[in-house]
Amino acid sequence: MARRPVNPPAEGWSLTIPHRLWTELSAHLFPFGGGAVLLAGHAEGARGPRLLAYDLITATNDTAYIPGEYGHRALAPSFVRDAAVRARDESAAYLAVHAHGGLDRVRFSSVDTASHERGYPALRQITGQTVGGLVFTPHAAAGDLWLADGSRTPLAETVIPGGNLLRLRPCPVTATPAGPGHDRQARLLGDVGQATLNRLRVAVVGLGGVGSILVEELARLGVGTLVLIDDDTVEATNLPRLVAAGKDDIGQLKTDLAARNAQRANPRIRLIPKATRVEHPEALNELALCDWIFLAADSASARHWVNATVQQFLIPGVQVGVKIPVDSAGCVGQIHTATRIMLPGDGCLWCNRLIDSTQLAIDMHPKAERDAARYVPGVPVPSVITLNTLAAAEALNHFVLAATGLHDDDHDHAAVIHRPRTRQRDLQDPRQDANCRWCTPAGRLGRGDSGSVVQTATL
Amino acid sequence: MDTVIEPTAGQNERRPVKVTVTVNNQPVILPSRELTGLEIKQAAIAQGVPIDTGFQLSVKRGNGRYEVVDDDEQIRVHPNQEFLAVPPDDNS
Repeated sequence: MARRPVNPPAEGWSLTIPHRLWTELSAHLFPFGGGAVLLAGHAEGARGPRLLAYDLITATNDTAYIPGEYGHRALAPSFVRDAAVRARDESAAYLAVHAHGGLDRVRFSSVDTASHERGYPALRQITGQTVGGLVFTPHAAAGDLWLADGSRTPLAETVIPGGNLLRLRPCPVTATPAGPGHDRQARLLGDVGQATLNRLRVAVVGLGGVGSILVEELARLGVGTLVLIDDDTVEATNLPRLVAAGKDDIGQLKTDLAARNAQRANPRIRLIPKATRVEHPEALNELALCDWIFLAADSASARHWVNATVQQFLIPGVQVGVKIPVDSAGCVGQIHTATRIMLPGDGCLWCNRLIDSTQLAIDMHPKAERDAARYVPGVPVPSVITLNTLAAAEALNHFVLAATGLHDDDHDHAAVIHRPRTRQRDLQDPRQDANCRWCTPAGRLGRGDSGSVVQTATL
Repeated sequence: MDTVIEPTAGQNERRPVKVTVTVNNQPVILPSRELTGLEIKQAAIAQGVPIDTGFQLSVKRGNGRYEVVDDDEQIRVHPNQEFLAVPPDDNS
């Protein structure tokens, strides 16, 4: 298979399809063609409104996808009716899908356009939602959206977050050459790869030992916008592990230190610091506008709220952590670093038992109550910059290769577990609960603004 | 190392089976071929592996990758199968 074109993020309306849904849709569409409807939630995005696919209704050939009266094939009226009723009842966008031949380019035929103009005004009335048509090849996508407000607009891009962060457009983008500063990097990533990084909006939640490394390297890579979230201040014991921190930083906000480092590394970077806990509405609203989230905070509440955002707004991310067990006698146990890919529609942190519900309940109380609820006063955990670097490097390399389409396997999103004492590095595939309330269509997957995380997430 | 005692012909009941696996590179003898994730962790704890039942358990599959096993998920084990158990609350 020829290599897919890499397209930088586009301005305008976008559609995000979870990779499992895309795998199912691809199998249905290619190579012989088929029809389907995607149901999608809605959210605002950094570059324009977003449609968030959460369920796929495939049309069976010869019963629901039948010879057309005007064109080659068409969705059967009863199939369209049932899908439109679901879209209406679920307040979801209705997106009819079919495939064309070809590979890197696609556009609607005159027959397609005529059928949209004939049918979509009525479907829009029935559903009260955005309706539209999508046409795909394996490497390209085009869309014609009929918005709920009565207007009509093309779909700028289709995003598929998997082992690679795919961006499909009607035709490949030609990027301007990367500047001299990123010339060496662009020799690997390509000019379009570098342009992709320049346009991404990335969040780092937690700006401690791991987070400070992430911020430094993301800024030097040329990421366009960084959202920095942490309500903590720098302590003397943090200095050995925070990039470029000095004694004068003690008592300062970690967001200030991170912003200073990022600005020094890349003066053109756009920074959005939020010196709050992640569950603060301001922080959640900024997170929901991101293209990627690094979770480098270890509290149950941070895991829960980031996990919810990943699934509800279809934003990929990585959870990064290090565990150094040392008992009271000073015996060191199995050290591990974890770099866990968080993909929309895939086994989430809840499914993999990585959020402690008791700790979460405690975390959601005011600070004084949180401290009182913990029977044992907090004992500082061991932390070493080299181990933080190991975990951060895995996360950053995954991000760079995924964002620029350089991973060999679109479907590979295993976590990486390092055990440095035995020099083992293992891949770990996540599990998923069949009806998870976060990462499946039965739950909040792709529901976007239909209920903001702030309002709808319950413990 | 494992000890598998197969029933002889005509026997109606299967005798106990012991299967030796590893958890975090430590040998652990399991009392059955089919156990839940929780039972495997409990056996490892009883045999001195320094984990607790809250750890996340994974089993190594034939493709060389680990796969997360839930507490109530029953899996079939075989001799020398490798398990990984890590605490879920890593720090950053």
